Amino acid sequence: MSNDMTVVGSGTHITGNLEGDEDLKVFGRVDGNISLSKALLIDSDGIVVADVQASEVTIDGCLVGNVVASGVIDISPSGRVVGDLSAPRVIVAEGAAFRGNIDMGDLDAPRPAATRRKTSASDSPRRTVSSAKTTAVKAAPAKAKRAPAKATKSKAAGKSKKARARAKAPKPPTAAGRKGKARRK
Amino acid sequence: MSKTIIGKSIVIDGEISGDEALLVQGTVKGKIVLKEDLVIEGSAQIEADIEADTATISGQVTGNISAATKVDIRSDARMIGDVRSPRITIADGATFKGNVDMDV
Repeated sequence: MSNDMTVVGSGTHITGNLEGDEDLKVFGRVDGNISLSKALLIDSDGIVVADVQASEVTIDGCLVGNVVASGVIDISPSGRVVGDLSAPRVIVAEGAAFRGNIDMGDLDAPRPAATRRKTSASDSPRRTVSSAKTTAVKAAPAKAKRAPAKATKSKAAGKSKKARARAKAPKPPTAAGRKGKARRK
Repeated sequence: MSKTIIGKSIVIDGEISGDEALLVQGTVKGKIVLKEDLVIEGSAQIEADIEADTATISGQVTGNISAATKVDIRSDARMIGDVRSPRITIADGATFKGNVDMDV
């Protein structure tokens, strides 16, 4: 890692406001407020009694306080959390203890794809408009005429003006047409 | 040996206390109470009263230092405050303004 990481050792107790642009690992105790632009890791021995704001929060220890993350909040099996969580992605592992509110923001907006697949059951993260577009572009050169037609339908259902205009224009599935679409991306 | 490291971009407004070594590269305002060694690096800016076993200071410190063993003020240190410690070193090039009391 190019930047230093800040570590609160197991015998250290920090009371007050903590803010910075680095990753923070807590093995000891922090009371107050934490505001980071990077990731926070609370180790299994760590205790944080604070409101936390970070890009990503991984909790293996104890946290009492509200958490706002721009990325993922991950409560591991040894994690104990009391407080409200607000993030687009929240993971609560088997064995974790949690009490509080979870707010993932606008549930109708396109969801960020899961990057950590722990369960075998696939919940198919590819059902977004953007991935339909890319799969259509890849399929078009190889497959038959039906693939481009499907892609235009989903694009028309989407919100962009460009997509609707493209859908209106007649699209013969010629080699030239497919190449153009791939270039347009 | 476990150690606490406060990185360069971190600003702490409050109190740090502990029984293990502390390395500060960032900004601390408030109070530091340690039972072990404290190292303040060149990039640090400290506005705090400090109690530690030993203190090695580079960087900017405004506040009083009370050490049980010794205080070492390095050549790139700029310190304003009183020092109470049985042993003290002030290197050539250091900036220091304050009282020194070695009768601890």
